Amino acid sequence: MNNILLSLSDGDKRLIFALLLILIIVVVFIGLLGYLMMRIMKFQSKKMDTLVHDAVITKVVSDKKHFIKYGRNKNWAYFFKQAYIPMIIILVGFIVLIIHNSIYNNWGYNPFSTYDGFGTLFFTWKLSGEYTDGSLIKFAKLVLDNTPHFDAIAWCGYIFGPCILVGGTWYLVAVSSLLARTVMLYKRSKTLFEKSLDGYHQDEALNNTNTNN
Amino acid sequence: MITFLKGILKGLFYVIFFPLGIIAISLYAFFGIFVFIYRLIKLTILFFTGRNLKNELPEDEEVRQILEKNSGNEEKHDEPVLNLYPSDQEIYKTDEYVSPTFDEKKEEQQQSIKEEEDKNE
Repeated sequence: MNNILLSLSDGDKRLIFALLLILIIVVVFIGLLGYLMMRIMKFQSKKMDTLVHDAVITKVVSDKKHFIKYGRNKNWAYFFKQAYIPMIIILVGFIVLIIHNSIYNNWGYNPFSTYDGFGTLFFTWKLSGEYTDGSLIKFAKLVLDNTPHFDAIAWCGYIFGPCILVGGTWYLVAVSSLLARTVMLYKRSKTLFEKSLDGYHQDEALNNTNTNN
Repeated sequence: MITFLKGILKGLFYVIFFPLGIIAISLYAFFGIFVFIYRLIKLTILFFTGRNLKNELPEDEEVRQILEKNSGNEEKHDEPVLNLYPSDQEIYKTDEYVSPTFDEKKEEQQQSIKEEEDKNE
């Protein structure tokens, strides 16, 4: 171990330090994202209570099995309600792509391409064959591939890209909400029809009934 | 210190379970597409057969009936009552005393007459 550390140059050490820093930032970012997702899902799961509230209060649903079946049906129905707008947006994107491909007779068209697609609007880099100078660790150089510019030839990408991004994100939010409600449904099914004997004593209960009579 | 450690543990928990969450969401997203298509076809069939598009469950109908029944009762309670004899009604409303009906009064009178007759005999 010591030999490896001694053989590392200053450049290598700096590189390892930078990599560790990037790793920590990535871990923190994932942690924060996970935390945010959990918070959002907790908020979304409250909708499950609203969906099954009336049926439970009126005792139309009175056992665990029935509750899960009813809750699941309501959950998927609500998901359909939430997901139809993003689905329409995604569908519009695909219809535009099909129209474009049939007009230009190019079925291998990449709508995210940096040449004639949505990618023309972004900075993109590619890995070159050359490597950075280092004694032990070698990295490929990043070379700027595209600067943001507007190209009329990429009209299909400009419609398809946003449609897929907006529709896809919206759909994923609906799915995460569905998942959160499912978790809540099973959580409620465990506690809602639970019968507890904490603090109950049969003899005491019998005595009480006798004295009342 | 403990809260700081708790925070770190929570962060680690999220880091470890984040990929699992992503897998669960992607599986649900994939399955959700099929459910969406199935429901869309079902709704289309319902539309063309001229049936209700709300696609309500039998439990919902039952719930609605119960709720309507309850709300109907509440409405009856709220209806204003014509108050001809306010003083009498205030007395009769109490739980302790319930005003006797005409027949009950008649029975009481007959009983008291009988008792008096028996005493006299």
